[in-house]
Amino acid sequence: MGTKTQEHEWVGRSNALTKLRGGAFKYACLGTALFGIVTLLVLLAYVTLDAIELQEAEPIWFAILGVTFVLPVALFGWYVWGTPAADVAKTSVGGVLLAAGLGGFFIVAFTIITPHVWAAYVVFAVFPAIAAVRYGDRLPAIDGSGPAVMATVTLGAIVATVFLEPITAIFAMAKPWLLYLLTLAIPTATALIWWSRTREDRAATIAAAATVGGTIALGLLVEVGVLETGGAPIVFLIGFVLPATIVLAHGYRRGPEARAGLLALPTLVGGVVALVAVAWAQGVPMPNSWIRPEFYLEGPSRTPENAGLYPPIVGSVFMLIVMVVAVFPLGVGAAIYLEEYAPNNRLTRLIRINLTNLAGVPSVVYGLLGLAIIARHFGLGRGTVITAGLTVGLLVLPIVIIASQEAIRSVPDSVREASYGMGASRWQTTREVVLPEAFPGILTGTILALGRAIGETAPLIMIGASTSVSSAPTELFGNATAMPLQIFSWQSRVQPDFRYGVVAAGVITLLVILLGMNAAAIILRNRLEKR
Amino acid sequence: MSDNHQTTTDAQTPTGDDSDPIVNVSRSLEDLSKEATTRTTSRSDRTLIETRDLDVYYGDERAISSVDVEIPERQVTALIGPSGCGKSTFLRCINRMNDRIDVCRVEGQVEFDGKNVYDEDVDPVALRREIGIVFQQPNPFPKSIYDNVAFGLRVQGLDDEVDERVHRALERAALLEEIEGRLDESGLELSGGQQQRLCIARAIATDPDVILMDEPASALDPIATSRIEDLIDELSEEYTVVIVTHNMQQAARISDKTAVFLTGGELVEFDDTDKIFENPEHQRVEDYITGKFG
Amino acid sequence: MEGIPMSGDVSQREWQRPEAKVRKERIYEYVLLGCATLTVAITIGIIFTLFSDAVYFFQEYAGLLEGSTADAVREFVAGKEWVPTIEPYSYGLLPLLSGTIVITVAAAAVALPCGLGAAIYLSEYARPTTRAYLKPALEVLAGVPTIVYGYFALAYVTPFLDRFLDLSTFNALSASIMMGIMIIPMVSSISEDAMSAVPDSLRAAGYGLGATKFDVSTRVVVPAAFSGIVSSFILAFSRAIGETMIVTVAAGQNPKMLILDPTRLDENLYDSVQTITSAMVQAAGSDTAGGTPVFWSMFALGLALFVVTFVMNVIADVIQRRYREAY
Repeated sequence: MGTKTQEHEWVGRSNALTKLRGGAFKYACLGTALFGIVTLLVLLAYVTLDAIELQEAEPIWFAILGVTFVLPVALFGWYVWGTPAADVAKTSVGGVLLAAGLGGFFIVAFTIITPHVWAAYVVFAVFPAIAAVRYGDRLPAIDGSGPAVMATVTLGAIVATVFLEPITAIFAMAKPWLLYLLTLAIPTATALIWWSRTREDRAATIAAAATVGGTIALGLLVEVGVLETGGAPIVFLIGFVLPATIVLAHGYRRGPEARAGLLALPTLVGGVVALVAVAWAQGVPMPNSWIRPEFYLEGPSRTPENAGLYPPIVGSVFMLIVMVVAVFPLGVGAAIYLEEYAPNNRLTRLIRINLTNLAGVPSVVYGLLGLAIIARHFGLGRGTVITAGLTVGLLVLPIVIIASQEAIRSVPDSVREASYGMGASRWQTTREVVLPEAFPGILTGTILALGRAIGETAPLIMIGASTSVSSAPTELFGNATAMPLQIFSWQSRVQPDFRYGVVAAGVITLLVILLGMNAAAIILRNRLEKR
Repeated sequence: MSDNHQTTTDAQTPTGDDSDPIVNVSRSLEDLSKEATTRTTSRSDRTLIETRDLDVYYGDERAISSVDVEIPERQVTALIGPSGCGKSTFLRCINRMNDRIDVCRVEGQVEFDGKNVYDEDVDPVALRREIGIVFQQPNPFPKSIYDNVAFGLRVQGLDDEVDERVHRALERAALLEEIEGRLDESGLELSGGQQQRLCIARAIATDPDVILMDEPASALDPIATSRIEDLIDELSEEYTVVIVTHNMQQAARISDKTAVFLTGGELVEFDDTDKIFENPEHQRVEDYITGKFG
Repeated sequence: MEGIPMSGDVSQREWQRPEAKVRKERIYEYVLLGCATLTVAITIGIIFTLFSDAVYFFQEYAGLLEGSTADAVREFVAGKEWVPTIEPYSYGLLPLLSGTIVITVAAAAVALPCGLGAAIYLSEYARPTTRAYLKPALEVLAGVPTIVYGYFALAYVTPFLDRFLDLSTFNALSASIMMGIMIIPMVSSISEDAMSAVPDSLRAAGYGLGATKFDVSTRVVVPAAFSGIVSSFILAFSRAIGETMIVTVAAGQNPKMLILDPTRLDENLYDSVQTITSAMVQAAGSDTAGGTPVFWSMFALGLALFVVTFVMNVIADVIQRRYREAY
């Protein structure tokens, strides 16, 4: 484009002013896009520092931290950077951390549901239902397994509920670890193997074996008397070992080069252990972090030093269980109807329009609904766990429905056509073809919705949940408490140790749990959709 | 009824044309008519499917206009015509697959074995158990090969001898040999041609009377196409096959009867394949077949 | 199977599925329909609850005012005092509405430019890899629990801003900033959808006339996507109006009327205010037994809130539908 003598206007770049204006606009846009994110990051950095009180640590401690933890981790990162091992390192660390989270969830969930109650429902409702799925077709009187399953589940649940006391009394004679083995570990392992039977997935078999074997091993330790009762370790193991083994086995199978990534976990754990050991040996105090084991084992207190988050965590998990039981089937059912069944008529249009509007109703208004209808009219009580769970459940129901609709819609129509073309009915097509395909998406959407639910505060206040509950709820009609509610109640205290210590630790905990749920949802979706 | 089953043997010129999948670019009436006479079929003249004055609308738009066709039992009937002429729509009317489309409206009659399939008392689900369908794009379920074939058996409640029926269907679809021992693998891991044969196996596993095929080979390479064509030829001994194709040679090679649809969803000519390709009655059909139009 | 003869007997065919199967599947369909209809029942429940209990409140309030129910409604809608718990009670909505407006407008002042800028950047400038990170990062802003934003505003933003401005411990400003950040993704994602829906031919036409990227973005894409952008603004407003915890935690509980003097407009921000939502939270906390007018006033406030947000959502929806039809 060179010219010798003549000056053309179109040669070279556009004039400087236009260029400056364009560039300024572009970076202004980028700046506005980043403003919110950067602000949030800065605030998160502050609250993290406050929660672990890093600024008060001694310089020597930072030196030890650098040598024992930061340096090895950085070296390892540099070594695997850009190789397949980096990917394995990320997934193995992330997967194992999430598995640990699941184990923690199991511990809390099984303090709410005792092993005897669990066993009662499994034995009376779940086992017969599995038998019905397997053999329902063979009963001449029943047409197909569907009604048989529904009947057995309903009947079993009613029987278990009505006769809960005598049944649990009988089960109480068995050792808890044995109950967990028979009603949790073995069924989960079997289900996993059954589910992956066509996938030639050795990881599933190993994971199943590790779970059952580990449970038995812990049970034997209980028998010998090394472990006290063994409830918490066993349920943690069942929640943890299965997913962790699968993640590690998949990492291992990625080939010798990628396998080095599995060392990420030992490096991190070893770094922390070394840090604690060296600091202790040198007599250097660890930072006075507010995030410490006692914080998760104790209840709220007047003094910041003794304040803990245990009851709210149990309350949140309890509410989650209520929500999953109540909302998941409803939401998926509604989504199936809207996507697979709904004729194009006025009722359908009403439902669709209503759904978008419901998603925009403020959460306090749901609180009023819960207060007036669920607590008052249905008589479930103000501020009870069940009222709280159902209220927040209704709040996230539209989200679950919309996410499930999207997942169902993304199933290609060609497989539906194939199914209908073979003489499958609508229900058969839905159950056999559409739902299995849409399941990862539905699961992801539901987990994300539950994440939203876990952070909700306003509806809980509106239904009259007390902000000063000091003990964990043990039954459905107990007083509800939840993590965000506790944070709300703590932050009205003006002592700096509360405002910049206990609350900061609570906020970090809540955010980490949310982050874990979101990460789990995304990982699950990616993994399941790859298959 | 059996006296209706009368076997005729066409004049034969056994050549290797069947296995020669190469599509001629230039074509003449003679080439096509030669292909049209290379088929051997046991014929029955009984009409299995008959449409009377069939109109199909998508909203206000007419996709098919007053079509009368008599499709004979256990023969291959090809529907040909330029794209958008309504041949697929017609095909999907036969087993009421168009019911799924809200805006689609059908007038007139489609009689299957003497019964109008659009009668009130006909359940489309039951109907499709008699009239199977294979689509243009191979669409196996994301399940194992075995489960793909067993799917129809399970949903139709044909629960006895599932293993046996699955194997027989795969064998008849000429797929069993290639995938022996891999029945547990996902159907999606097969090649395109294998997938389409899996879809055919899936369709015949439940032993329907009629198999509708909507351009079953158009997404496949020439070799896979010729295998599908051989398969259709074999299937026509037991099943009534109705196939939509845009490939003239294919229609000439594999079909006994041919229906030519031209734009506007109009059936211009319906006759024996030999007749259509040797001596069509309408000039428009001849123009279309020889590539002057369409 | 080969043994089954193809008889072709007309009468042998089954045109129906077994009655029991059809009935079973119809039951399933009704169950699923029930699930879907429940969502309508929720709306009916909300409307019924709000109306009936709000009416009850107005009757109670009428008793306090020693007037008719209509007087009570008038006093509620046009009243300039909100004194819910101390006698003499007064339940006037205007101060709460003032607080809501202050917070919402200030939040919009943060969210609208940021959201719009982010949308333009994402739709017109960002490379696919940048987009792949930036978009989910923006969505994270909407996923942080509101109680956390409230805490940030109270514990970090207010002390920080207090260095430059004369703020009270509870103030509208920091609550608004946090609320603005929270609703950025609402603006950015819907606006970006609208901008992405602008056909590339329009952009090409712009470039063909010698326009720069800046010209195309601001004079072609933004005007073409205008209705979508407006709709995103309205939804963001609606979301801000209904937001509860940020204002409850950080903006305090001081119901006061809007300062309308143009020279002192900024003073609205430095002091504590009370919004409709935070008044509801206060009411829920102040009467744990339930039965006094405060308790029932929650439902009147809830009704006001529901009506306002509902109308805004519908308007946004209508506008959005219209722009979809444009292409």
